[in-house]
Amino acid sequence: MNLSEEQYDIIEAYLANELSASDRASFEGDIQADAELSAEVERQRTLRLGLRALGIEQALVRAKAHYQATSSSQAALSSRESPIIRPLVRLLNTWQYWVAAASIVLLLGVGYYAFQQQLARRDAVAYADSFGPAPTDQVMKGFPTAAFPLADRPRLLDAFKNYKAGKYDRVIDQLKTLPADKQTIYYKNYFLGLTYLANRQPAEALPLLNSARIAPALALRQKATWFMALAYVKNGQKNKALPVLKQISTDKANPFNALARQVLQKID
Amino acid sequence: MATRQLPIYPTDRDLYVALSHREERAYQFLYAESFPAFRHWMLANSGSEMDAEDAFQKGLLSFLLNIETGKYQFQEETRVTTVVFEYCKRVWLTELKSARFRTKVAMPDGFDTIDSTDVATDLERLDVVNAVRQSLQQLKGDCRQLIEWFYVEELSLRDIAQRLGMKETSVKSKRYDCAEKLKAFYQQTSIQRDL
Repeated sequence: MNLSEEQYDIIEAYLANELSASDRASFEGDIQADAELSAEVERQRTLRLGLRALGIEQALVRAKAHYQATSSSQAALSSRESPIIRPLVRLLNTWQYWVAAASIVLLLGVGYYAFQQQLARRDAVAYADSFGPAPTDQVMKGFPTAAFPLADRPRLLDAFKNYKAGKYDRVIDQLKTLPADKQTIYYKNYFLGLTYLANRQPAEALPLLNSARIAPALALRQKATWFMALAYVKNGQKNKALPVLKQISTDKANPFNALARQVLQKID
Repeated sequence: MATRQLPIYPTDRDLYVALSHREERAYQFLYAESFPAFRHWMLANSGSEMDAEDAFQKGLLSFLLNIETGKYQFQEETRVTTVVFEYCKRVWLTELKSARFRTKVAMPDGFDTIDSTDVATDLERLDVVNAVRQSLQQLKGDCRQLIEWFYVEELSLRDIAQRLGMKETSVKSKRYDCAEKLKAFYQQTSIQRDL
């Protein structure tokens, strides 16, 4: 049904409960008498509820971010407040004990260093195997370029080209100043995070990928989580990478499930 | 219980009223109060962390939409967080029951006794929400912005007029034009998605 502006305004006022009692009763009489009008009012009601749902979704994303920020700060606070475990020091009286202890420390130190070097190499291999230098498809697939303002799209498309060409510094400059709204910010952060990662700056990539993990779109959350795990590996934070990789590897519906298992086999 | 002392909202009724008034703080409070317990339950019932977040998001959204439509009314003897937990739990159990999961995991005991008709209706409504989202994305920039400001962010026509440097009457006419375009996109999307 094509509505005139006047009809639209009446339906708007009716659904917003802004009609007087008499006007409301009169309009409800019209609805009962006109099946087409009745269907139109229902359609308008559905549209408004759908739009309202989008508003609630945005509020829930903010609530989730607030919850995560609060949880993180509480965890940090509790770790600062945890009691310091003081080692029990046994006093040694003779020089022989000191020599023996120093030898053990030296042996352990050399062994530990060699072990760490091996682990670091293994982590780097895992990272290189799983994250090639140009995962352009992972950036562009599902990227809502049309959601960005028309004026900014040429810059975005140029950033994709530069990314593909390996000009990561240029992409970072382009993306840093790219405007984003509540919907597009997650995609911007994801793209920028991947670019830092490709540019061997995992520390800069981590907060951006982490923020993309609260995006409404499941596919984006999954990709951001996967690359965040790789950024942890690359940044030498295996303790943080492991739980994320394990979580991905146990989620059979996750598209990175198999890759996560491969990386786990190499670093765990 | 309904008279339980809450840190921000003295009673569950106060929390319910705040949610029905769409107070941001109430959403934050409800999220923080409900999610940890639900996450714990999910991890014990064949779910992953991400499944927990998805089911919680869907369940909580359905609950809040039912407050909007009046389908859910406050019940004196029932805690709001308990109701939210039940909504989210049923979303997950319904998904487990679906063909995608049926062959992969065992159903928790007692699921067959749950009437999932309401959950199915709520989940179908989320399909409508996705169709509206897609239709909104098809609108051009200025129209999409105006509809978002008015219907999603609930700004007044006067506020929008100030932002755009336009007369309020002009904004009202533009809202009509944009809403009609949105409706046309939505009708196409509904047919494509068989809604």
